[in-house]
Amino acid sequence: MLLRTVALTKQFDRHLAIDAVNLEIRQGEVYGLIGPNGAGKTTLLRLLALADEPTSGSIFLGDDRLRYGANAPQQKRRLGFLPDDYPLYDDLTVRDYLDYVARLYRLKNPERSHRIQEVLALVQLESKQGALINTLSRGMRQRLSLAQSVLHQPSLLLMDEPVSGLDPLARSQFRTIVKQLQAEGMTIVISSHILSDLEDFCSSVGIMEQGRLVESAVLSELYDRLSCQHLIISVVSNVERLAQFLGRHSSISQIENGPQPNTLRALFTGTTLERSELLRSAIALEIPITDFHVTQENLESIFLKMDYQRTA
Amino acid sequence: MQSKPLPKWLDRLGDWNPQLLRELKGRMNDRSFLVTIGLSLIGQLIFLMFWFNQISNYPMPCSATNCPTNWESWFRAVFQNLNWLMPYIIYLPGIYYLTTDLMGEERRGTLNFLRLSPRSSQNILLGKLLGVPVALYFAVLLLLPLHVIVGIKAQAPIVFFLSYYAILIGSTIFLFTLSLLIGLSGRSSQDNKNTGGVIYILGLLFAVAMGFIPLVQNLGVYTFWNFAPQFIIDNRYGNGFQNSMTWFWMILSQHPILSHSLFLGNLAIMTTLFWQMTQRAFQNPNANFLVKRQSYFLIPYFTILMIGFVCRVPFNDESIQELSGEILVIGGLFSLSVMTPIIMALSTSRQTTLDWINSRSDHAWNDRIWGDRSPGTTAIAINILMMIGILTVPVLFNTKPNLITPQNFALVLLIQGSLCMIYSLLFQGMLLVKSPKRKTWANLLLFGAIGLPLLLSIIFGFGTSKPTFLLKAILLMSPLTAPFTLGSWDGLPPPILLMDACIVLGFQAAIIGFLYLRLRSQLRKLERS
Repeated sequence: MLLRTVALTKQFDRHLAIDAVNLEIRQGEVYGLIGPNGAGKTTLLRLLALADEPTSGSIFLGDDRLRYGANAPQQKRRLGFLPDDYPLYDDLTVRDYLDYVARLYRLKNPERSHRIQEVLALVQLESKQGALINTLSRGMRQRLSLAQSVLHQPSLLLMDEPVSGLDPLARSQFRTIVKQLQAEGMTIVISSHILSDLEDFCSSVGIMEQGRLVESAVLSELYDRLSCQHLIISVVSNVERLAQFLGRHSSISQIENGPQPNTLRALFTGTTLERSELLRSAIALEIPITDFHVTQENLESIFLKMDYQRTA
Repeated sequence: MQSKPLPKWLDRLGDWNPQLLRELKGRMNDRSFLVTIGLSLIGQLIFLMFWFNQISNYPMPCSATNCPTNWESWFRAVFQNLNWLMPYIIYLPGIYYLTTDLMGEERRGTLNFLRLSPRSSQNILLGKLLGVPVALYFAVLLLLPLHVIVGIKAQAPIVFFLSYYAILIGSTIFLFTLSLLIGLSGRSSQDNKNTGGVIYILGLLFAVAMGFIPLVQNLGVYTFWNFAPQFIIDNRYGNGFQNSMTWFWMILSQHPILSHSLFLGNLAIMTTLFWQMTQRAFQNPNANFLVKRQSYFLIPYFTILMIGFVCRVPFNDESIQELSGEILVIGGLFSLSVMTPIIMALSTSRQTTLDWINSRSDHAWNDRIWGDRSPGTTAIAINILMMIGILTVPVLFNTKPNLITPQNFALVLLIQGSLCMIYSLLFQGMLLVKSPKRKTWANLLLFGAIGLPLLLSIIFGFGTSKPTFLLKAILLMSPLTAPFTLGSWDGLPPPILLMDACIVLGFQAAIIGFLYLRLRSQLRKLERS
C-alpha cells in the first residue's frame, strides 16, 4: 500500500470537514475522488499533501508517517501536489520557473536540464519555455503547474480539480498527460467534478459525502456491484418466446418493449459471465436473435443514484 | 528558446539557495534595481551639495571677515549626519520590501508551494532576507565609500567604525527578521490564530524596534539609537550616549566592552527569538508564533534585563532601599508591556484548543506546560511565578527596609501577579466561546480589564488625602497603580493597610477561582462537542 490514512479527521470549529477517513491506495493506482461540493475532497487532498494540519488521525506514505509542519525533505520529495488555483510566479519565464522548482527539489545539472526538457515535452510547452508566465493561457498555466508537480518524479501525485474551467481541447490534452504518467507507474489521486474524465483513466474511486468516505473501491468492482446493465435484444420474430425465456432467468427483471419492434429491454443484475451464459442458452434454444446489446450505467449515474439513496 | 546560461558562481549559489537565486534573477534584471542605484548616487550628490553650501558656517576662529574653513569641524558635521541617515536608508525600504514581498507571496498562494518544497524554512527565509532587499544592499554599498572617507577626514577612530558597523548590521538583521515575521502574519482573516494578539505583540515590538531610528534626534528626544554604544567611543559623532545609564550598578558609559556586549547580545537574543518565531510562522501558519518554552526564557530574560537598569550607582543602603519601590513599578510596567502580549500570544484559539482536546496525550500536565496547542493559562501561571520570584531577589539584599516593608512589597507583587492571571483566564476563556466575534470580545475584555481601573484611578485616585477603601481597591486592581498604594511617594495617598490589601488579594483569588472553574467547564463542553 503506498498511501494509507487512519481515522484522518479535520474539524473547522463546529464543522467536521473530514470525518475519520480510512483511505488505502495501492502503488501505481489512479484514484479518483468524487463527491458533491463541500464533501471534503479539497480538504482531504490538502491534508494528504501536508498543506493543512489534521485535527487527528495519521497519514502513512509507504512505511513513513507524514507529519504536517515537520522538516522532512525526504518525505516531501515523494509528494507532488497540484492545487486547484495553480499558484505561479508571473514574473518568471516558463523555463526559469521550472529551473527554480528543480533547484528547490535539489536536482543538479545535467539531470536538471534533462528533466526540465522531459516535462516540457510531456506538457507540450516546449515552444513556450522562453515565454513569461503571465502571457500563458489558463490551459497552459494548468499544464505548467502539472509540470512543476511532476518535475521531481514524486511517488504520489495529488491533483485537485485539475480540469475545472478548461475547454474540451485542454481537457483532452490533460487526459493524455495523465495516461502517460499512469503508464510510467506514478500513483495519482485526482479529484474532479467531471466524472466522465475520471471514468476514462481511474482504476479506483472514492466517493465522499459530508466529510466521510462513503465508498472506496476498484472501478470494475464498483460497476459490478452498483451499476445496472440493460440488455436490448432484437429477434426476427416471436418476441413473446424471448420474453418467456428472459422471464425465467433469475438475473433478469423489468422486461419491457424496446425502442424498435421485436425488441425487448431488460434489466440485468448478473455478472459478465452470467451474461455470456444467458446469450449462449438463448442461441441453444434457437431463439432467432439478430441483435444483443448491453448498456451500462456510468460513474455519473452510480454517483447520482447513491446520492439519491442516501438522501432518501 | 534557451535562456542564457548562468555564471558558474551564480549557478552554485542557486544550488545552495534557490530562493536567493530566484530573488536575484527577479530583481537584478529589474528596472527598479537600476533606479535604486541611481537614486543612491543622486542622493549622495544632493547630500554633498547641501553640505558644500554650509561651508561658510564652519569658519576657523579668526578676527578677519573671510576666515578659512574649519574642514575638520565641517567633516565632523557631515559625518554625524551621515551616521543618522544610514539607518534610515537601510531600515525603511528594507522593511517595506520584505513585508510586502511575503504578503504578496501569501496572496498569490505561492508561499504554500514553498512550504511544501523539501527545502528547509531556514534556507528559504535566508534567501528572502538576502535576496529581497538586494538593490538596497547595493545602494548602501555605494554609500559606504563616502561614509568612510568623510569619517577619516573627521578623524573618527577605527574602533568607532567597527562599533558603528557592528551595531548597524546587528540592528538591520534584527529589524529585517522582524519584517519577515510581520510579512508572514499578514493574513489578518485567519481564523485559527489570535491575530489581534499577534498584531499587538508585533506592533509593540515593532514600535520598540523602530526606536532604533533617530526620528526626533534634533529635538533631543531619546530614542534607542541614543543608547547605541558607539557613541561611548566618540560622542562627537552622535547626539550622545546616556552617561547616567547603569546596568546592575555598572555605569555603561565607562565600560565600552560591556555596553557593546549588552547591546549586541540583546540584539542577538531578540533576533534568534524572532528567527525561531519566523520559521515557525512559515512552517505552520496556523500555530501561535510564540511557544511556551520560548516564553519560559523570555520572561526571566526581560525581568533580569529590566531589573539591571534600576540597579543604579552608588551601591549603598539608600539605593537598595529605593530598589523595592522601583522594582514594584517595573512589575507594573512589565505586567502590561510584556506579560499582556505574552498572554495574548500564548492563549489558544477555539480551533487549536479543539485540536488539542482531540489529540491530547495521557500526560496532561506535561502537555499543559510544554504543549503548543494546549491553553496558555498554565504557562502564564508559571511565567508569573518566575516574574515574581526574580523581582523578589534584589529586595532580599535590603536589610534595612524603611519605606516599603517586606510584607507590603510581597503583597503588591502578588497582586500584580494575580491580576496577570485574571487577564490570562479572562482572555483564554473568551477565546473559547461560540460567538464568531470571540477574538474581538476577548481583546475588548482584556483591554477593558486593564484600562478601566487605570481610568478610574486617574479620575478619583490621585490628590485624595484620605482615600476610601473602594478607591484603594481600585488602585490595587491595576498592576501599574498598585505600587502607589504603598504611599512611598510624595503627594500620594497614605499607605494602604495590610488588612485592606489582604482583602483585595482575597477578592482577586476568588475571581481567579471562578474564572478557572469556568474555563474547565468550557473545556469539558468542547470535549463533548
